[in-house]
Amino acid sequence: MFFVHYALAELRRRRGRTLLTALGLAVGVALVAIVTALAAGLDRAQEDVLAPLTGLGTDLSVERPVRITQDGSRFTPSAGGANLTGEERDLLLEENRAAMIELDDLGEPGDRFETDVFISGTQLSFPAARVAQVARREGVVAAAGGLTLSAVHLEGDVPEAAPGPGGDRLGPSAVLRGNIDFEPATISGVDVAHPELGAVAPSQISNGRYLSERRAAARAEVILAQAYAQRKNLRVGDSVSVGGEEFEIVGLSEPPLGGQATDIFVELGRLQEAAGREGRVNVVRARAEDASDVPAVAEDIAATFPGSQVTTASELADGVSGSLVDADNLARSLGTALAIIAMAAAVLVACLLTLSSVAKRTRELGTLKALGWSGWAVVRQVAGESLAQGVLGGLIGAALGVAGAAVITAVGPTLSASAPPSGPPPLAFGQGEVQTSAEGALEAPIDIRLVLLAIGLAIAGGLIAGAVGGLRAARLRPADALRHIE
Amino acid sequence: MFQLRDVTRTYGDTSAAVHALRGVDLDIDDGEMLVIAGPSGSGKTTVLQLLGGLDRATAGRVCFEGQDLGELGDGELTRLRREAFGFVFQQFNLIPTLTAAENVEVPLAATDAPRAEREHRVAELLENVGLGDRTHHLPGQLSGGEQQRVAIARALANRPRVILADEPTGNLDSSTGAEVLDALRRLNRDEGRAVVLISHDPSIGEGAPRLVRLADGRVVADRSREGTDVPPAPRDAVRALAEVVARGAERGWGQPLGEDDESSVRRALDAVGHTLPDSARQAVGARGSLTYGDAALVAAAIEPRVDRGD
Ligand SMILES: Nc1ncnc2c1ncn2[C@@H]1O[C@H](COP(=O)(O)OP(=O)(O)O)[C@@H](O)[C@H]1O
Ligand SMILES: [Mg+2]
Repeated sequence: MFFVHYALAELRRRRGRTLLTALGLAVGVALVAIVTALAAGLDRAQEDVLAPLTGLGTDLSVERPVRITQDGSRFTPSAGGANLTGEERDLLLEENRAAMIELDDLGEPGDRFETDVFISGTQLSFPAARVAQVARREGVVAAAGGLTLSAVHLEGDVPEAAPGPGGDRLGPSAVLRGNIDFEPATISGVDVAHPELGAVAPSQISNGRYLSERRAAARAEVILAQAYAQRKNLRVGDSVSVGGEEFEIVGLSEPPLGGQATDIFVELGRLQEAAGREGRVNVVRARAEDASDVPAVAEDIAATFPGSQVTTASELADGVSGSLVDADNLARSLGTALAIIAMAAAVLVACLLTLSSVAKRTRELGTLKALGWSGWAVVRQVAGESLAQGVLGGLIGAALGVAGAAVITAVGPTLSASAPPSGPPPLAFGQGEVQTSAEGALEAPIDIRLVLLAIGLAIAGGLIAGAVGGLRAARLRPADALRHIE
Repeated sequence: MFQLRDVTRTYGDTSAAVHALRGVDLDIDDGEMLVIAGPSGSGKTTVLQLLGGLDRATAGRVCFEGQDLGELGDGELTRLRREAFGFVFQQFNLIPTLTAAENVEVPLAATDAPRAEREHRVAELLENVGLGDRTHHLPGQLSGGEQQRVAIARALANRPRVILADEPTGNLDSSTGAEVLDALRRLNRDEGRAVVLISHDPSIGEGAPRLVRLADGRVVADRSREGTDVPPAPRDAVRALAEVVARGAERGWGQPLGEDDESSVRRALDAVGHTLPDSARQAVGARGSLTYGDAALVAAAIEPRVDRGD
């Protein structure tokens, strides 16, 4: 192949120009490769970090919060529900009746007492029939009910009744006044038939195991959030008393990012009984057939369930923040822009160098035409040389990209992500707001497709430069080319 | 082989047009050797490029073997260059990254000749120009004369019917120039290829079988060896004409001739005019009043006919 030999001889002789063009393309594609690898690594890190923390199987959750008439204002018990319609206030009171303990029921003032109450806060419960309704909706693969309550343990001396309305009940003021310890915890009931749709999913278990699959066996079991167990100095195998009943700790869990900061997980039926909410749930978690169905399904459910609030997993993910998310965004926006600019600049440089090379070789190319070479053969010569530079640039660029990605992986900065808590807002007895967070090491994985992409991009750049130069060469009139003075 | 009829070539548009050729008639026979001479800028290279199909005439016809080149497409002109023409350039125009042998192979690379045949032909051609031992040298490693011989070998690679050489000795000293000329003469004599050679070296024109003289885009003399029996111009007429031309250089070529000068020019024209080519005679005769430029034209046409014997 004469023209291949000729092209190689040409590239060898104009070594500086060849290397400059190839290096330009190499840097461009290396940047593209690194940014792509970084983005993939960040995606993977985000998945790795978020996976155990978000309810993996849950695409959307349906709740029935108390409707507050005035937008933006938050319900507080002290405001006495001023912003609620009568109907909503009744529902709220009904939900939290357990918290209104008559002092008389506890004993004589000064007596020692100990009791557990379950309150819903602002997440109203609803009949479990809603679960089946959601499950039947088109696009929904599975749905499970859940019940998340505040379990408050009260222990101390029965206080004197205070004058005024409500003075004969164990309200916040009575607790503050008297010698009473209170301890709130969040407790969730899990439908063990749908563990992946539970408030805690099997993938979140960091220690021990998940609740038993059989309801009967699961009734005596409990999973504790790691942080809660640590605070309480509890371990797998220990037993713990919740609502006056004994459970065996079978597992510890990591918190879901953006999920509910629940402390205690028990079998749903057991919690319903203990809290006096048989047949009622306050959340439905559902999985959609297709991620793209989720918004439509969410709308559909919201329309058929008055007062409901449907939250989708992607909305949750949007709430995730932290260096991981920042890095991911950065890699996507700035990194991509940088890679595109670098690539465009490299192609531009390659084009300009090829054009200047054609200009410098005007006489040579004209001679070829005078010697009987067709326009196409001359174009092929010019484009072939650019293509070879593209291949060279691609190989160098792929090597640079792999090396750069390896460096990133080796250095592997730690990135973190955090999410605001969801679930019932803190109510009486101040339940702590928990900011869930997670960490992961950054990697920039390079696979063969990425290497091929880099080489392909460089070759494409070489071809563009070759096309530009070839076009110019094709337009050379041999007569003018021969007059050209070098 | 070639017939040029009233060929003009104008570069650029009306405002800054350069009239490189202003009506050239020329016939070249098969196997003929011909030298085109003339001052710089007279249109020699333009004629050669029109002959070789590298350029197209603005008006008039350029025919090669009965085909009007102006009517051929670019592809057909390329085919003619590949099959019928061989070019030799003043600056050799070898490709600097390729060896002597590879340079000779360039025209063959455009054909589908098999590799073995090509290599054989290249070796043979270089042997013929006396460079059998330089095949793997790069142009930069060869002397000017050697480079031009490589270029001649390259021009012959496709067995052309005509060699078009534009001042092939212009960049060579006189002895290497003579060698190159010799090589071209042998090609013409021994292989029967037509050779069109451009030169402004008068000594080359002297020895040529046919000399075509261009001035200002026109053929002002076309002397074949057979035509040497044309009587030499009277010496006094030539001397008078030389004085007129010298005055023209001072006054400007576009100025009309003074009365005495005009009669000098007409006398010189009468003496040799019947031997001038039609185009030159028409150009000079067409206008009523002659300019100093016309005097220069006539002087250029007469000059080779001057009897140098005294
Ligand atoms: N591409 C061009 N554009 C404009 N003028 C040109 C071009 N090529 C040649 N010329 C002009 O045409 C005239 C004839 O040029 P050329 O044929 O090269 O003359 P020669 O070879 O006899 O020196 C000159 O005046 C030259 O400047
Ligand atoms: Mg010239």
